[in-house]
Amino acid sequence: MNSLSMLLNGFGQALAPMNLLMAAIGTIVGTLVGVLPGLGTSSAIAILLPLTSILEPTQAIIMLAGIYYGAQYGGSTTSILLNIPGEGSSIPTCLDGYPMAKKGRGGPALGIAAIGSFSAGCMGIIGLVFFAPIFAEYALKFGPPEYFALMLLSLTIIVNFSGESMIKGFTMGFIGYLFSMVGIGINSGLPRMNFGTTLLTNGFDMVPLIIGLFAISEVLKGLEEEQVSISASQIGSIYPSKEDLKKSAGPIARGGIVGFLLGLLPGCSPGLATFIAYDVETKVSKHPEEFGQGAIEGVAAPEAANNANSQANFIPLFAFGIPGSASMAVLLAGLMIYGLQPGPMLFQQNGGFVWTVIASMFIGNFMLLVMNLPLIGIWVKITQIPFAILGPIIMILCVIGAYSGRNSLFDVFVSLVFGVLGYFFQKYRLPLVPLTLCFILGPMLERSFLQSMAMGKESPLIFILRPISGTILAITAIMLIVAIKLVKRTKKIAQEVTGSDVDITN
Amino acid sequence: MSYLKLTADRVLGIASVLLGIVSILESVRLYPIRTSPMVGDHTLPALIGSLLVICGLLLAFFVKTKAIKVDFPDKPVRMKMIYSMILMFIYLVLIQYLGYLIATCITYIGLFRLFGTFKWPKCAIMSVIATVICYYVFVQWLGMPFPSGLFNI
Repeated sequence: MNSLSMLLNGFGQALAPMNLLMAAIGTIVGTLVGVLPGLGTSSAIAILLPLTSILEPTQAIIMLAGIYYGAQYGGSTTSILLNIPGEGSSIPTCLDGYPMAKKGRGGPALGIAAIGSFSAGCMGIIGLVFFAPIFAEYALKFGPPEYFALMLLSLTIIVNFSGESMIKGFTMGFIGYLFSMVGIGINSGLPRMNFGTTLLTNGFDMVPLIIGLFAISEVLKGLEEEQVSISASQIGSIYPSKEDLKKSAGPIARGGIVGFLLGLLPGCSPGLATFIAYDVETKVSKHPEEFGQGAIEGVAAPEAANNANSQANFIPLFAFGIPGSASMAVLLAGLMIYGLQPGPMLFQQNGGFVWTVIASMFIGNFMLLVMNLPLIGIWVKITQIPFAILGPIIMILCVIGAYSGRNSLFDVFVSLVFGVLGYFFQKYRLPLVPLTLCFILGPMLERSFLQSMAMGKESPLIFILRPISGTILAITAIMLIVAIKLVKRTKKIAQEVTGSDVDITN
Repeated sequence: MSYLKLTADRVLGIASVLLGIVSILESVRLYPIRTSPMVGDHTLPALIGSLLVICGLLLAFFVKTKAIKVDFPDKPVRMKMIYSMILMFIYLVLIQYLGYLIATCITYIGLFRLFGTFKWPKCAIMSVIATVICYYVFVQWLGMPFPSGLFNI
C-alpha cells in the first residue's frame, strides 16, 4: 500500500507539463531510433546524454527512459516490414513478423506488436511497483553459479534455432562464444586472442556484429532479389482481427511474465528474454511447425517479453545499480551525472524521483500505443521508399550505427565483414541466431563460470550443491532432452504436413 | 549455379576445427598467467576450442546431412553485389583521407548508381541531399566525431 501511495504521488509529478513533454520526446526519439536500422538505443541515449545537462534530473531520466523503451517498440517495425532488427532484442520478431508481412499481414503483425508491447509493458511496470521492495532481498541470493546455470539454460534455445542440424547450431554457437572472447581477458585484464594487434585488443563490439549479420546482409539480399519495396497492399489493415487478438492473448501474457521475471535478474537484457519467450511459445504451441512461417504468436510473445523486460530492468538498475544492457549502462551513467546513487537507499533518499520515473513509464507506454497504431502509416511510409533509394541509405546508416558505439572505423570494418559472412551463412542455411546469442552471452557466461569456480575452490560441484543453480541445471537437462525430442517431432510433423523438408526455424 | 550442402558443411567443419585449434593454442599461451588450474583467461578458450574441434570433426567427416540446392544470382546482379561491398570497403579508406562529408557523398553516388541504375546527375543530386541530411543530423546536431580528413571538413 505504501508503494501504491508513492506511485500516486509519482503520477502527480509525472503529469506535470514539462515531464509529459520529456516523455513524449523520449518515446518519439526512441521509436525513431528503433525504426531506423543501424541506430542503436545505447548510442542514441549516449549521444543525447549531454543534451540533458540543461534539464532537471527527473526530466532527463524520463526522456532517456522513454528512448529506451520506445526503441523496443520501434525495433519491431523494421523487424516485421524489412526483416532488419532495429535492436538485438527484435531478432526473434523477424522470424515470424517478416513472413507475416510477406503474406500481406504486416499490419496485424505491427498492431499485435504494439498491443503486446503496451500490455506487457504495463504488466512490467505493475510488477515493478510491487516487486521492487521485495526483489532486493531475494536477488541477493543469486550468485555466479546461479547466473552460469541460467546461461546454460539459454543454450537449450540453440536446439530450436539450429534448423535441420543441431551440430551446425552448436558449432555456430561456439563460434559466437569464440568471437566474444577476443579482447581483454576477464580474469587477468590482459589482451587475449588479439594476435598482437591493437585493433583486436578491444574485442568485437556487439552492435557492429548484429548490424553486419542482420542489416547489411539483408541489404545484400534485397539487392540480390531486386526488391522494389513493400507495397501498401502487403501491409493490410493495421488493426488485428478478433481471432488475432484471441491467438495472441496467451503469448502476450506468457511473454510478459517471462520477460518480467528475467528482467528482475541483474544483467539480463531484453535480447535474452525475447529469445527465451519465443522458445517457450514454440514449446507450448499446438502448432509449432507454424513458427518461422508467419505465426502471430511468434510476434506477440517476444514483443511482450521485450517490453516487460525493459521495464523490469529498472529494478536491478535502481535497486543495485546493475544495468541489464548497454542502454541501461548508459542510463546508469545518467543517474550518476545527477548524483543519484542507485542502490537500496535510492528508494529511501530519492523516493520521489524513482516513483515519478516509474509513473512516467505508464504514461510513456500509453503514448507509444497511441503513436504506434495510428502513426504506423508514417513509419510504413518510410519503408515505401524504393529499395534503390532505401538500400544505400540503410548501408550508410549501418556504417554510422557501427561507428557510433566506439567511434571506431574498425567496428565498421567488422560490420561489413560480418555483413558478407551473414549473407553466405543465410545462403547455406547456417543458423545466425545461435552465433548471435552465444556472442551476447559469452562474457556473462565466462565471468559467472570463473567466479563460481573460484568460489567452489575449482570444484564444479558448486553448481549442483547450491539449491537454486542445481535446480536450474536440472531444469536445463530436462529441457534439453525435451527440446531435442520436440524438434525431431516437429520436423517429422512438418514433413508429413508439407510433404517436403521444411526449415522450421526460418 | 548450385553447390552441394555437404561441401558447405565440410567447409564449416574444417573452419571450426581450425578455429578450435587456434583457441586451444591461445589457451596454452594464457595458461602461465592463470589464477589457478581451472580459473583464468585460459579456461573458456580451452573448453570452447575443444568443443569446436569436436563439432568440426563431426560436421566435416561423420555427420551426414542432406544436400540442398543453393542458387546464386545471375552475373549482372552478382557483380552489383560485389561492387557494392567493394565500394563500402573503399568508403572506409576514403573517409579517413577525404573526411566524412566528401567520402559519404562519393559513396552515395556509387551506391545509388549500383542499386538503382539511376543516371549520374540524379545520383549526384540524391547523394548530396542524403549526405547533407546525414551530416546535419549526426555530425552537427548529435555531435558524432567522424574523421574530417585532409581537408578538415
